[in-house]
Amino acid sequence: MSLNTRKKRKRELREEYIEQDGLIFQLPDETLLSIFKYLTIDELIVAASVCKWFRCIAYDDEFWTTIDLTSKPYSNRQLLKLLHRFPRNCTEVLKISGGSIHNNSGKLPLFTEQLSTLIQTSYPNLRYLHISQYDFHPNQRTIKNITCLPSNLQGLYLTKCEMLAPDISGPSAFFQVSKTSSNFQQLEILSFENSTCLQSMYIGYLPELYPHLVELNLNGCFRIKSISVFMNTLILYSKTLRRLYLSETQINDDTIHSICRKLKRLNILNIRNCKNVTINIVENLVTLKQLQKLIANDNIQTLYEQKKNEEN
Amino acid sequence: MATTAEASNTTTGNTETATGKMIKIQSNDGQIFEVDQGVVEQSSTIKTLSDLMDVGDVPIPLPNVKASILGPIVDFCNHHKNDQKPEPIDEDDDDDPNKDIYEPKRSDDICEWDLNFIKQFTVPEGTLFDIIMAANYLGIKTLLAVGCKTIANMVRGKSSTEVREMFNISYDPPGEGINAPNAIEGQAGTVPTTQDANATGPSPQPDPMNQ
Repeated sequence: MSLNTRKKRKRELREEYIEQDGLIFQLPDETLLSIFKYLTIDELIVAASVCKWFRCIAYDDEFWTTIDLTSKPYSNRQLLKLLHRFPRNCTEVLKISGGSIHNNSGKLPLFTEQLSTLIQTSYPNLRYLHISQYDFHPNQRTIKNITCLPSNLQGLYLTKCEMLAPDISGPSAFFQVSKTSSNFQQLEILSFENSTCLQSMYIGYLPELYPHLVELNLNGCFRIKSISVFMNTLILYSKTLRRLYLSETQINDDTIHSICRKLKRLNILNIRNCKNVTINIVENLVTLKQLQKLIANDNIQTLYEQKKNEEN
Repeated sequence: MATTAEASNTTTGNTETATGKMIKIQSNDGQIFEVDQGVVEQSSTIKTLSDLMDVGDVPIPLPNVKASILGPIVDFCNHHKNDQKPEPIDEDDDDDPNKDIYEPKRSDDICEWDLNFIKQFTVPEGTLFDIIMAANYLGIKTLLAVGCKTIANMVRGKSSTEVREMFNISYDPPGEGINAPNAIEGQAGTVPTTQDANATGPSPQPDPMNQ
């Protein structure tokens, strides 16, 4: 068969109308939509390859506003391919996790510049980016610093990531940006949950990068201590910060004292399992009038509730 | 919208309907089923019809459902009529920023009775689809959800070829580029070859759904 004949045959095959008489085709579109609601993104992608109708429904924007790729392990290469193949303007939330891939060394995969660029080109309207278990150590393939991540985000979650282990290559390079860009004005939520490499001094770079944080999550960052840089940084957020998560950090009563004096707008405060925080701090906590939810160890929690009730 | 409002108005005005009056419904092949309010409550269609028509002893005709399907559905509703009403799910939950909209919906939470119920319809003859369509027509949300979850569970973990075989779907050529079949599936454990990566080309064809 000549090339032309083959091409022609392929075209005919494509244009051929195929009568579908399977019983499933009796279902209305909205029922198939509700069926596909129970599928994950990779299951949807398989479903999309079944037939035209399935594909039509599986590619409905409704399913692609959130792309959660954490349910199944993807290597960086597979991830790149997938993000390249399924660009979406409607996507607002993207969740990726490198944790399930264990190469021989057991190291986390690198968050490469290529990956970062592709995320930005494929999902121009992304608002929330969750990156879990990736390695941001300085390397010629990783992104240079935090500003290389998409700039139009409202929420950035770097959980269980490694980025700042102090080494000679300049541990703070990830945050230390030479010229301040005003691109990150809209970032409201920043989470480093369980990114244990994070140290108090790096937090000092945040206000310049992200001046309008509403939520800061440092849960499980056990290297966070009550040093003045850290306290001064938090105070800079007194106008915007509403939710502060500090569980399992090394902060002490002094930090809480400053927080209670300066961060009057807090709605949620998590100080659970902070071994340097004592029950003496409850007096101060009660002065946070806008606090709706305190998450603390039982003894502190109980006394807090008690004092709060006495006041009312 | 108008019918729903009307229906609830009638309910508040008509208290004697809630006192366990039996209602007759008729399948398209003429069989009549007598159901109580507990069953009627679960089907928005029957509820609306019975409220609107002010039926006495006249059976409500259900022209889209045959007796062999309606019978089991009545059983299903009878079994579930004493279930606790789930929290009304607010469809417009956009204004609650704290709600975790990213929580994936579960499809493995079908209770045992429902599993056994739906199993008898999961046969090659495709009565499962009849059940789903009837549930859809009758507006029985719980049954519709059980049916949809069942199908989702059947699709899960299968290749597209297996799905086609299972539901008797003919392969219709989907086109090229990003729409090519087998584009992504089956790659979970394997690293795609460079050739594959190049095959996508620098600019994939636009998604037909976005056009």
